[in-house]
Amino acid sequence: MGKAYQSGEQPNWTLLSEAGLVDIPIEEFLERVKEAKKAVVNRLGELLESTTDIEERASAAHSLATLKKLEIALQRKESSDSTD
Amino acid sequence: MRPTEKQPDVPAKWPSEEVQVITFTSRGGSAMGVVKEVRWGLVWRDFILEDGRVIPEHRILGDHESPVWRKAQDISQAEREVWERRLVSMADAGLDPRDEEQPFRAELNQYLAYTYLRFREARHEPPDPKCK
Repeated sequence: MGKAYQSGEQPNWTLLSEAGLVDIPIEEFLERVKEAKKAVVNRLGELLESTTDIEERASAAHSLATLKKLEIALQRKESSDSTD
Repeated sequence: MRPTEKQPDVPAKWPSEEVQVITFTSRGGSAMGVVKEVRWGLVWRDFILEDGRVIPEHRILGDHESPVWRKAQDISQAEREVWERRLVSMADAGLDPRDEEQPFRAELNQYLAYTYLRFREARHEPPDPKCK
């Protein structure tokens, strides 16, 4: 990595680094999309139990749809590459 | 070099407009490129090189200011939806995130990082006292 971060200087750095999301390895994109989908589904479950947060619910549903489309496209790409 | 659009919540003095060549970590070690544009993403800044490669700021080598990242809650719904539509259209066009240093890979990486931070923060938010 090109830059050393001091502790506390960039709090999200540690989080993303530990989650392997700063530089996602080439072969892991599909898996990371699936994990993100799972996180959004979990959050949607929480939001559905609440009578408020309608806006966040709609926004999470939109992101879930995006991730689903990305997953399908990446799966299609992987399977077409494996048949070539 | 075209500088990044200003983000009101994030100060970024680096790079100065004179900086045009950067050295960065690449798969095979280090590499160099001429910067065409610096653009804010959902989390960090990307350096777009004249040959089309996209280099995230944290991969740039050298002595410069520490990168500043945006907070997930500072991204508007409109900005997120534009980003999501662009990603889906790139995926539908058959672009491959396994292509090193290409826009689809860079944008998908940032989107997944942002999504992680966004939903992590949402789960860790303290309950709203007004909702008692």
